[in-house]
Amino acid sequence: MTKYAYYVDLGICAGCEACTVACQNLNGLDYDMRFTKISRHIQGSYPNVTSMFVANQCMHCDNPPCANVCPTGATYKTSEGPVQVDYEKCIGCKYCMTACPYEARTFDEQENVVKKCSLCYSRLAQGEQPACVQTCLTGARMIGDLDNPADPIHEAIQHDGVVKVEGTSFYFRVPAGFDRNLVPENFQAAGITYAWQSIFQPVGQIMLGGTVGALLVSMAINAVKSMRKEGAEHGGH
Amino acid sequence: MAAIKESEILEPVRQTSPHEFKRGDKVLRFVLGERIAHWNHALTFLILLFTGGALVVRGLAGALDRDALLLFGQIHRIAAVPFTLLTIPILYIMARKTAGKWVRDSFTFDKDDIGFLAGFAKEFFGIHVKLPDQGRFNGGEKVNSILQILGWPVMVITGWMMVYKTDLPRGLMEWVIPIHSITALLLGCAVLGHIYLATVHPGSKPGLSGMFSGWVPGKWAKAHYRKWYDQLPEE
Amino acid sequence: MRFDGQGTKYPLGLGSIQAIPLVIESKDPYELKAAIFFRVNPVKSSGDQRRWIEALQKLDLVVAIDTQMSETAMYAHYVLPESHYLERMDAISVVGDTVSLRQPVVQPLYDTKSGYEIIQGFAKALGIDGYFDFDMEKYNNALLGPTGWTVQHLREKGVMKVSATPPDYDHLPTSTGKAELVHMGFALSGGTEVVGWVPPKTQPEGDRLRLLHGHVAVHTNGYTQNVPALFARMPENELWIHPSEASKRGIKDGDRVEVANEYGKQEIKAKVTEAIRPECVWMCHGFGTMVPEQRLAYGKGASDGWFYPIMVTPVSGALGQGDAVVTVRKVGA
Repeated sequence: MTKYAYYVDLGICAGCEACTVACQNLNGLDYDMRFTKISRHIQGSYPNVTSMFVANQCMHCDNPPCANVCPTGATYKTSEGPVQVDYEKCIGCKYCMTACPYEARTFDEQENVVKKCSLCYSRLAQGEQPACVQTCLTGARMIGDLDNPADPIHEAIQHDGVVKVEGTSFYFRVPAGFDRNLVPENFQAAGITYAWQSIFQPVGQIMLGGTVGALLVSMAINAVKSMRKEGAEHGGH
Repeated sequence: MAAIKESEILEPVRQTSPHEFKRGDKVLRFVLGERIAHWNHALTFLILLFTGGALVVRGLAGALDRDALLLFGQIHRIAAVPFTLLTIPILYIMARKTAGKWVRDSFTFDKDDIGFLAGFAKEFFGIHVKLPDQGRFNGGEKVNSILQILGWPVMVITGWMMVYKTDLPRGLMEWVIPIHSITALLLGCAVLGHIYLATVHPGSKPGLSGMFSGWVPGKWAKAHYRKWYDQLPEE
Repeated sequence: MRFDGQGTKYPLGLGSIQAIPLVIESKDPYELKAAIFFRVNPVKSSGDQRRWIEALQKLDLVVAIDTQMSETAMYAHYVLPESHYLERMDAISVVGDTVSLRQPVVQPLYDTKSGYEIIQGFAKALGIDGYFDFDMEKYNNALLGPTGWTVQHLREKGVMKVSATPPDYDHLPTSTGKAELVHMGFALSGGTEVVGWVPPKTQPEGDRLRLLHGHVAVHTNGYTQNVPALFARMPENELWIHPSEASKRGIKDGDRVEVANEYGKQEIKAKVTEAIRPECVWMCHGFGTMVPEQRLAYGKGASDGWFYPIMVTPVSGALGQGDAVVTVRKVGA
């Protein structure tokens, strides 16, 4: 088995955004649409000022709410980890955009589909790296297989300051002196998602099933009754 | 039943008092404005229920191809416009008094209404029971009315919020979308029962003509809405 | 004798492009009549933008060879468009023990030539084309000769390692064999034996702040502002200003501000940040494009070139930058 994990060393990200552009070019995106984003964080007051770049993209959650809410099954979680969108099935309803805790999805007006980082799943299958990893000038980005003990990612995620974003496929190394909250928070299933899946949906289904069942029973009884009545009338003649 | 003349259908538009009355063996049950409003609400609701259901119920959505679903999405948004905008103005302009009375009636439950609800469950499955006398609307109809009166704004507000879902806070939309779906499901159940009673169930289906011509058979009205029937004036 | 004093006035110098306007004005050591600029944009990057423009307008002939329409090309009589780096072969590059080749990956999209072909054309017109009877591949093969490789090998590999003797840091090629902080060469070139601190000519006083400039990882000098992918990432530069100085001037983050001194005036968006010394302001170099042909970048942000005087530093003859102070005020205030 393969279980992909993604690691970003924010201590050496130079903020060149080559990852963003390589991704845009590989996926044929407009330049105002980004699957992977870099933003600069500056903290402290002069002269004690420090700065780092923060990376953000689809976190490929273990239990992705985007896939749970997708009505057509266009968004799905692969067994190897990457969350995929089948653009042929996406109807642009944007439920996934409201469900995503990391604002990792963008809507393509022209194609009327919601898009996001695929972790270059098709490239991974061919033994290639995601565009963002391959292009990273400082080597800040890494993808690896957690199920393969020989994969160098095991060593990378042992570094000091590495934060695992719980419930996702992501690890960040946050340099000393920077707050863990600068990188995406641990995955938390929204209460409503739980309520919807474990309460509302089953209750709704029971309700609907009960209604239909009651109608059928009522119909059957009335049909039998009218037949009897007719039979009685005929018998009388 | 005597043929209904065109003038008899249009007559109640004028909303002359009294709004309902007996004429021979027929009773005028719904004035024109009520009927138009009902059918606007009913047809747009059914279209919305069907297209919306296909969009959110995964089995249905999976069975249809992307183009069909995109078309359903468009139909859903188009049908939402008359669903949102027309029903209340029609009632207000064409049937202000009767509609007002309907709303008041719907939220007024007496012991006869409760008694009806208890007995109707048996009646529904063909067991004859003596039901208490009912007013213009029986307890079951009142429940359906309440669901529609309260469910309509929920569907309209959450529905239009969903058109702008990516511009609204995520925490809010997290609730809005399931509320839209669960309310639709609830109303859908009520509508299924409503349609069944109006078209199939032998005891209640004679009332269906009330929503087309406005007139129902006097005998049927007397049997089902005794309290209402007794106080109806002759024309 | 070179016009810029390299080898004479500046024995240690590597050439001073910023000497061009000074020599045009002074005709010292001789009168300049023509200038050919090859892949440089000194109007924007070598100080006092206005003085450069006025100087170039005095020349009989200005030629610019470039991959894009630059401010310098704007004031040229002839612009010779050069092929983009993905359309041409350049001389091999050697860094340490690594040899790499820049090779064309697409045919030129427009009517352009490589820089070398343009030089060959000049040579032909001058009747000295006999010295240029080779193409870039032949040239690279000659350079690769000692390694036993050819361009064909590099085409396949892209980058190759050669076995090179690493430098011996214990015996440096100096008179003492060590790193020299005291060097007679500096003294002989008009300086002091030990390179010393020379105070800048300007000081941030009154309402003036020192102007600094620099670079970001997204853009390369003034060459990428019009590249759509990079324009989208950073369409304009900002003036970094410390909150204390910003509040004195009523400037809020994101306000348009006017930067000015005796040399020039520019408008730019303010970024109020702790990440700058209070007495300094900073902007990224390369923006404030004057060239309408650069359709995306045209007029976006500000150019630092307007504010620096043209200075030739002693000894090295390098471009003296950063010696300017400016006023900053909120636009419309």
